[in-house]
Amino acid sequence: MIHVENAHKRYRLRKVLDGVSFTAQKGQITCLIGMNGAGKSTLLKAIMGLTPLSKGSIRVDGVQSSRELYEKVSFIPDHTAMPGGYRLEEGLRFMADYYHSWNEARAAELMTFFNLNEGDRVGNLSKGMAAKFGLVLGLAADTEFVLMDEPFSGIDLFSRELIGEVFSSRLIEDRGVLITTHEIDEIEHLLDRAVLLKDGKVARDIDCEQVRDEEGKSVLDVMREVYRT
Amino acid sequence: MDKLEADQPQSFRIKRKGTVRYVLVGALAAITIVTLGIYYGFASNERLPSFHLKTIEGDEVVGRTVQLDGRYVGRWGNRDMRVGVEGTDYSFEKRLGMWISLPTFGNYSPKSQALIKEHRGFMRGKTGGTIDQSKDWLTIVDIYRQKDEARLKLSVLNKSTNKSAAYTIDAGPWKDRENIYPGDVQIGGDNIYILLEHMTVNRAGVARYLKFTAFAFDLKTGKLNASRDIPLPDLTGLSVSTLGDRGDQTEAPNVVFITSKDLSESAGNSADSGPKATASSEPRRFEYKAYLYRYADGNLLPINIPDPAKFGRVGTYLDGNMAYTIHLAGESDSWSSEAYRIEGLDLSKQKLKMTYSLKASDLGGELMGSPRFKNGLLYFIVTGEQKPGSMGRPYTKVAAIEAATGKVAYLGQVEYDGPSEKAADELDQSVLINLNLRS
Amino acid sequence: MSHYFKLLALEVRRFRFVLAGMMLYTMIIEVLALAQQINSYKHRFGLTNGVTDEGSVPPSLSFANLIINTQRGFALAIVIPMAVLLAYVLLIWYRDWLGRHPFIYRQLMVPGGRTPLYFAKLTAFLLFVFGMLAWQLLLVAALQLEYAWLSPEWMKAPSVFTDAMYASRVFQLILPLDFTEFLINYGFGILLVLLAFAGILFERSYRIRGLLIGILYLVLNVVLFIYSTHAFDGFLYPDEQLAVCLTIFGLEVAAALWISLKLINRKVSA
Repeated sequence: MIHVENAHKRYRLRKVLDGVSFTAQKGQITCLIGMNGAGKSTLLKAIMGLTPLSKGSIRVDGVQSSRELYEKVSFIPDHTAMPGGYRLEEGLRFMADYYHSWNEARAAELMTFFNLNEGDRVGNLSKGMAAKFGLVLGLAADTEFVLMDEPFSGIDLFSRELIGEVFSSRLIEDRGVLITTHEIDEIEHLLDRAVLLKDGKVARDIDCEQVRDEEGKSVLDVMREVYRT
Repeated sequence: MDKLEADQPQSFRIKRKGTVRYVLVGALAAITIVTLGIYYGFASNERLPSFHLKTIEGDEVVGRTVQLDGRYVGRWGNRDMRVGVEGTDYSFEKRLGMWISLPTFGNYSPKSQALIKEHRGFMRGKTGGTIDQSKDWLTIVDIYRQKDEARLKLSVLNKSTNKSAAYTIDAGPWKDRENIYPGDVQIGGDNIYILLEHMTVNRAGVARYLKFTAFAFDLKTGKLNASRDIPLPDLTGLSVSTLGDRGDQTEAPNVVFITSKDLSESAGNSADSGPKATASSEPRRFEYKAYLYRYADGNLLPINIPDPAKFGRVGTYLDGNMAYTIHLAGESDSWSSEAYRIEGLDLSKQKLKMTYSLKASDLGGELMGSPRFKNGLLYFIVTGEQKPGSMGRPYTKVAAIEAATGKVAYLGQVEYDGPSEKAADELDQSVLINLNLRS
Repeated sequence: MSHYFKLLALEVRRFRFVLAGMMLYTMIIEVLALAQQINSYKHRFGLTNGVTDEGSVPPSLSFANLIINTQRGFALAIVIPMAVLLAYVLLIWYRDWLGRHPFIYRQLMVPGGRTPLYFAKLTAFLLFVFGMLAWQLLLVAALQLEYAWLSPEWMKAPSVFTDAMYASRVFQLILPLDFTEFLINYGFGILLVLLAFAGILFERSYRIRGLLIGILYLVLNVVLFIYSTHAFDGFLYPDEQLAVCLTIFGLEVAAALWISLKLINRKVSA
């Protein structure tokens, strides 16, 4: 599991994270919800070691800053993090070069499924295709966790549906997924947990099914409660 | 999802490219290393010629005191070099970028370098002053002004015990417009003798001799034995040259003063204005007087020198009671001569003791450079004739002659050590015409 | 270790067009400049049948002498690639951070730590610099052939390769004939690159504050090093001063490396 404990982060003069703690379990889809600038991306990047925390700790399977973190956790950022001049196949080769956990066969499968052409250049991809390529890069590896930063933002409807299909597939089944978004429509029914961030703190940390059963509320309802006041 | 099964036929394969990716990096690295390696290994300054001074006759110890300065002109650029018994040193100034030069011993004289090598601790921080050393002592004398007083700072190293000491000697008053210099420093036995020249500078900037003072200091006890004004006659209107003892074997060193007076028409005005440049065609006449001063007892002896106008034309060297004068003989130009004539004058007896000729041809050469004198030996560079179109000389030798007898004590020749095989060509391109002594 | 080589190959490959462009540019400028010089010399004397109007043969001009006359051409050929490389000290890092495709995410997330990444970028940059130097040397050799080919018989005269290198003021600076001087100057240059990298990593870790710290760090290091070249003048002998200087150099290199690795592994923000 990924355990974030008392995370603090200051960005310029603003306290983006002010004591955030939560846990993302393997086999569950956890969603970080918050308004723009709430610190969701920052949290994901902090887990991936892409930005340091001012205070607090992050443990993956009990271990802090492990060298093998990247073989266990894969990251799908909101921008395609491959040079614009790269062809898709070069991007895939990059992953194959450095990660033991990279599964070539699955990558090939996903490329076919998403109908992506290996000769295309990263810079020429539409938003939808870029998002799909990101998914290939993130999901083809045999990692335990997948972190996704705003996977649906700006994507066309059909691509979104396709991506949604991936979520309910075998591909995600036994992994832990930590996803950030402020558009939860497509995946609300898939979420296991939701962590709502407000003013740098965890406003609510809910088990979605439990809340639906016990309080009769959907995640959206909870969101309204938290953010409208 | 059924579609996502790995055993489905793939329409896509990642191309494997194992070692091909390293081709570019490898090629770049290889070409870079090889090219730069060849340049700095074979083409650059690493291939400058090296020479050394080989002993042909005599004791190599004498050869070790010699350093030949010159240039190698076979390639463009500053190729100042120094050749000695141990080899060749190209003294490049190492620069960082265009403005910063790195520290180097290059600015130090060969004598200083030798002293620093021998007595590293003692020489540290000693940046000026007059140095004299004997077998037992090494001394550095410096003069400075404190308010209106002249002071001598004396740093002493006892070579046998390796103990050093520093003394301050009161050197009398120092008035404004006065310049005081150490004119001669001599070690005799366990004493050091310091001669100070006192000069005044008038408003026009003309300098005149005022007087000379001498100090005798006991190095063993650290006490000043004597402080004397030298009883020379009135020095108004006179030029004075001093000859210090150049032999290190004397227990009781001397110094010779030669005063000259310009007797041509402007003699009457010389008191205030100093020597004038006369446009007259009449030959200038000088009146010479010479004195021998003994440091040990302070005795001043007037002496007669035959032909004083020529005294020291090329050089005159004092060694104890003997004064050796070097005259040009044969064909000569501004720096070399076919032969020299040496006269040895016994100053205490005021008699010419010996005279002999030194010919370049006797020493295996064609030209001899200006002499250097040290410890009773006269050092000469002996070379062959410069070939037309060539800057160097076909061969360069060094000869050390006993001044008292004219016998050859040492003969050495510059030899080419490599790296190429063209010894004659490389020697032709080396111009070694300055002889320096390291002690 | 294999990650280091892979990343190094990647950095070199990404720069290959710029590198080739610089090499091509240098070659074209120098070839043209030399040809133009030979041409103007050829026509200076107003010859008929290889002999001047006065009936004498005009003086020859050796390759090395020709280079003396071509100072501006070589300066122009060198200054643009120098500027490009200077810019790339910064761009080699910033190109991956800025823009729509932050490749730096991937580079920082390579398993096994970021030390290979740092050294890959460092050695890649140094390879480009020394590669251009090697290219310049090869070019001079090629220009000798051009000289032999283009100059008329009466103009030809022999010259030594090192004299040709000495003839150009820019070559004296970038390819000094003395190996020790080469080591000193490029050693200092490498130190500057290390300090620049540290500055960049400071900026990427602490933004504006980091930029100021980085600049201050660079200035202090340079000043200390330059001061140490003549430390305690008059008290220390030149060989001791050199030893001090070298020690300071070693310490500064080690410090810059240590700080950079600490920053990139723990403090940098993507």
